[in-house]
Amino acid sequence: MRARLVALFTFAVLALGGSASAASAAPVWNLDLHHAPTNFTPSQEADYWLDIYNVGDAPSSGPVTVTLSLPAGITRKEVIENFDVTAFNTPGLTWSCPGAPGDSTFTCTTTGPIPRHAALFQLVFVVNVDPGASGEPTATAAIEGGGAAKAADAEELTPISTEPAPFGIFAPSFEVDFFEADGLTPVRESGAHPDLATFPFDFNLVNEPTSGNDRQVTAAENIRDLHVDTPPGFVGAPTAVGECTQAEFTTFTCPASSQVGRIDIHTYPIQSSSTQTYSRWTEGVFNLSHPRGVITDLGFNVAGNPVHIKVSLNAANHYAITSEVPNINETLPAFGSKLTLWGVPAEHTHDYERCKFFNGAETTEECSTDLKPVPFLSVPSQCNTEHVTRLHHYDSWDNTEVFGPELTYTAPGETTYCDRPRFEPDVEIVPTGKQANTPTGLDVHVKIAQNNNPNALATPPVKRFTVRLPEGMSFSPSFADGLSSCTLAQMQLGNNDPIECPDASRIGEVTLHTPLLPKSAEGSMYLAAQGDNPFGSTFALLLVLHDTEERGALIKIPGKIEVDETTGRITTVFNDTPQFPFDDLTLKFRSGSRAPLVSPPTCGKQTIGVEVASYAQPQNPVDASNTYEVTEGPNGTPCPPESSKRPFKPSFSGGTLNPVAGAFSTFLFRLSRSDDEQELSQVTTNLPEGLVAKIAGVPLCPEQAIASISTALGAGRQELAHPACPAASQIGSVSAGLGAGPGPNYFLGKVYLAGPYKGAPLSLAVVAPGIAGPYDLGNVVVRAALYVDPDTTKVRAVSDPFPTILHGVILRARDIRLRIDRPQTTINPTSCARKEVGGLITGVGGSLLSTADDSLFSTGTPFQVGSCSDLLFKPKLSLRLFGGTHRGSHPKLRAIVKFPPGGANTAFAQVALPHSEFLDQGHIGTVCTRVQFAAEVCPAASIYGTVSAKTPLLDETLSGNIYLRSSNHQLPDLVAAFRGGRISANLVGRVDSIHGGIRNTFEFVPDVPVTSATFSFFGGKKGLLVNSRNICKGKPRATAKFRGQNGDELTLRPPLKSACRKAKKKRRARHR
Amino acid sequence: MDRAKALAVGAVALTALFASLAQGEVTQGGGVRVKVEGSLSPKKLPRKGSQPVSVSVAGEISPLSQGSLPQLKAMKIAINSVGTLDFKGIPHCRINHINPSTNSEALQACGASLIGEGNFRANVLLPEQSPFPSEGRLLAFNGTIGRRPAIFAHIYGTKPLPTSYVFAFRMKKAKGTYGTLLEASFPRATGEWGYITGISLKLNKRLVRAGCPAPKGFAKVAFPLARTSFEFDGGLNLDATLTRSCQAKG
Repeated sequence: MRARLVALFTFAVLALGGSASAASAAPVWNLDLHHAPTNFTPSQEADYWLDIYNVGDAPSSGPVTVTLSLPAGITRKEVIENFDVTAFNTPGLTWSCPGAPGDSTFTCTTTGPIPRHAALFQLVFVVNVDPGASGEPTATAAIEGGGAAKAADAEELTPISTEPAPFGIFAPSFEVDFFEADGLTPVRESGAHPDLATFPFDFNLVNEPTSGNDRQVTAAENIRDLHVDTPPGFVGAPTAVGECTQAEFTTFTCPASSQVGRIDIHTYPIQSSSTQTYSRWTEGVFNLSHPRGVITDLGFNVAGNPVHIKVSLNAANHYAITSEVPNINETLPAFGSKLTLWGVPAEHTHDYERCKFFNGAETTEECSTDLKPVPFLSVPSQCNTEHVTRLHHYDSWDNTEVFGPELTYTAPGETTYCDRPRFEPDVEIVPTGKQANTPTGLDVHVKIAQNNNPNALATPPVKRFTVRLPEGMSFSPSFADGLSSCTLAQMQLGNNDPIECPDASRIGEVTLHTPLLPKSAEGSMYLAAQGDNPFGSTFALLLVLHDTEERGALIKIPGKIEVDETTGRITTVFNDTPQFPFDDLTLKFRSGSRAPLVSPPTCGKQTIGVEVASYAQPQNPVDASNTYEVTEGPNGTPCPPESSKRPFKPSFSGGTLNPVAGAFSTFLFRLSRSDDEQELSQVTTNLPEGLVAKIAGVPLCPEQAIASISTALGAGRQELAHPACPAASQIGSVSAGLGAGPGPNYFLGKVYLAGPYKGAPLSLAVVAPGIAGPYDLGNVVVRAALYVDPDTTKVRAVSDPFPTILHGVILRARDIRLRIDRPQTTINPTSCARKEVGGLITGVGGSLLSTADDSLFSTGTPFQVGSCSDLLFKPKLSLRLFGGTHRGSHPKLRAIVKFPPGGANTAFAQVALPHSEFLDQGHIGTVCTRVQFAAEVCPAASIYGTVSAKTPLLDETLSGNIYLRSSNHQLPDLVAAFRGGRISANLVGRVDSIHGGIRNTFEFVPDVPVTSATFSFFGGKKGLLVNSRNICKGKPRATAKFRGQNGDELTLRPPLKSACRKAKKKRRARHR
Repeated sequence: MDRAKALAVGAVALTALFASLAQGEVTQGGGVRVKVEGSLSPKKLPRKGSQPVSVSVAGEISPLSQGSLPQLKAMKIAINSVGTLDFKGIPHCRINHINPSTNSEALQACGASLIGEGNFRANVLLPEQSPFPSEGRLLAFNGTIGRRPAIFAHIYGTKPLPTSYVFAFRMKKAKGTYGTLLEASFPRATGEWGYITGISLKLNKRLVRAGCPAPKGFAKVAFPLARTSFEFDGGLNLDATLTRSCQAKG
């Protein structure tokens, strides 16, 4: 024979309940019908038995009739009056059950009285199963009379099979529901406090004949562990009842105030008797004190053996209640059980039952408790949803961890009157900072008064909590500095394992007071990892709460943060929050310079939109919006009247690290503003003349590569690891300080040299991956067109507008530092004159989104280099005529000027030709107008020569034409138009005469290093020059004057070389 | 008419022209105004025969309004047969000896051929450029073109740039009132962008002779001394007849 131990079943249910029903003055019948074995075997005997309850406050008077109607194939054999060990019986209560074997019904009558609140387990109906019976017929039972207002009935599905039922629970017996005091009438109203919540079920039973009893019934196997999950919303308040200490529980002296219900257990008889087949055990269920690892421990004793119902929150089921009944003692062989929890345990309607179990002894006294009636159970608030209870993970001592099939029970009918429970959340949200455009934390205090009136409806729990911050209040980029984030895996959502979020992801504190726990739960807020959170969103929060009494409560509530990508406005939504009540929730986001938010840029009243929706009426959220006032500007400055009238005087500086004339040096640029100023939008930088860059050997970053740089979220780290532009194109770096407050967060990036952009021959591609702490906001690519003035070679860098908002984060750029530090790239001027780095800076005005109210600020910073006197200035000039040497010939003229490296650049150059060369007016084809020249459409007839120059700055040789271009001078200018692949430069010469000779003066020569330059003027029919004499007679010399950028002056008298020797030879040959 | 006579006729014509210029003869049309001035002295000339005369001549071309001038392409002067240019004994200058050259170089090369001096003015008008004047000293040399007599007007100026060119007045004989014809073409000399605005010349006194064609019984007479014709670019032609008077001696 298998060991028979006590098998008890319970369910843990936490809830407050309040019985609103009044005690009836008449008996009220309730009836349960059971059968054994679970599978009736054809040709064998079997049993039905009844649990008869008088749940009324009066005993029965007069005859009480019980009827059992058998299904086809099952017939009456006999009735056994069973001994009820719990002895609710009144002595002398006897039944008369006339009838004969083979009948299809049993009818039993007693004259009673059946006492009030009695549970009788006396009648066992023995039946014969026909040899041909099969299927799953249903037997029905009824009870009536005795003065009860109405009859009660029950039915029992009866499987017929030759095979015994395996270990398990007879599924139709598992029916969890809320009832009024009669145990029959379901309670469905949202938030109502039922009198009872019952959790009945029977085990699969088999016949196990013994030597003294050939139809002894027993469970297939004795249960060991059991789990029950109640539906979300099925919660209660253990704090609403008293507590029983372990000592009291062990000695069966739990105080009445700690009783929350009762349990009825059907067992194998503990006394041998010819009339005893089944036994029943009824005990009180108590709320035990100081549970460990669970939020509530409900306990009861069966035959001196303690059984615990350990209640905890099931993270896998939206923190609904889950109960575990572990290590169920198998001292008594249990057939089935019925746990009954009271909605309002302190209600006097339970006094009679309370006394029966008090001290484990039976009594007829009525025992009250001085505990104030507070609801322990409530009907879930949510309508339009199924309330499903699961029974699962139950096994037997014989086969541990071999679990029987899971059972579910869906309560019939729907929750009603969801509009009735009162829901009045009180939300207070206070930014910690009252200054405009300043980092600020946020203190959130949510109070939801819980209705503890047992005669009223429970306050529904919060389903959705939405906070919409005012426009202008946005994430602070500074916030992310040094921050980490918590990944989905680290959150350990869906289980009760501790989180593994890094400490650096903690961004605030949270406390929660719930009736589930005697003391407030405490915890932290964590920043969720971008994209790796329950919402897959960029931003999300995680609230983590734990109890402070080792009750094992660990609650993790993720919240989605939605950010308007256009305005940066933040909306935080906690949706489908755990369906348990709380009356006080505080969230304190960290404050100070690393606070998560930045307050709006202007003073005045700000509204924080708050909506709180309950599970009862999720479609009708309560508006609990707050207002607060920004009272001063950043750092205590006066309030800006409106956003667009904020000051805008950014600080601007630029210069080289090594200000030595003609030297290579790192170029540094910085643009910054204070918090009270408008945000930076764009900058145009005018570099001083002579500050140039050597780009020879620097490959351009291809446009295709720049276009491939993704601005999508998460692309920043990819760019960091594998930059799109070739490393050889990098010429510098950038760091952009973003955010308000004293500690901006810096985006670090690279500066690449790129090709033509917006009409400029070259450009910069500033690529800054938007890595802010744990966030990867994609890449910021800002182009700056580099315009080179062809007349001065001054560089003007015009940036594109800086992004003001990146994936919803208002960047608040306030400190931009650019560093062109590629070795041997930036070259200082060779002029030591005082110059300026000019800046034209655009502020965003009032709106980040509109350029209409942008403001401009023009500024400059002095720039000057020194040590010009250390530079040499030694240009060399050679002039040569080609072609005829006699009078009237139109020779070609070539002038070559060479500059030794490392010297000062030329500032001024003038060449006067000897008298031997006149201008032939007749050879002036035409001149190029300035308009034509600017458009590069000079007529061919205006070209009078060619030019070329080599500069160490560029890979290519600059070459082009020499034009006569109209001018404001008396004569057209002689313009040498140097053209390279990307860079153009014009050298403008003024033409006049001196001492009867032609003179050309380059009054302005750009301060750029040139290795050599060659000017070739056409001769012949296109030649402007004409010999006024035979140039072979005498030695004509030109006069050339140069002035270096360093002020050095030089006069040269180069000879005008010609082909005289050749001409002489020709003449001699002719004479011969 | 022999060569000497022809020259004499030319000289008379020029004299008449210059006499006319002294008083200012104006003709205009097509937006162009041409003023021709000249002086001739003495006024009292022999009724029969001739005597050396001193002659100076100046011509100005200007626009009638703010408009631009057309280019002067050619100029013709028909001279009354009472005057003669007498270049006899003066050597011929070769044009390639003086074109281009400075004045001094021109005189050095052809000083013996010098028959007069003057000035020359032109405006150079380039696109989008303020017009700038080109001025120079004019030296007239005796020369030939294709063995025909010609006067080479050598121009040299340094403002704004050193430049030099030569106009050639071809001399032709004619019958009737005007016995000598001088023709010059300008485009090649002044370039595409040059616009002649003025020219003046004073001939050496020993080279010009003239008489007064007054009939018997008349002490003074007015006569058509010369007819000038200016041909501008675009087909514009302006003609002017210079009428001058003289007092007969004897």
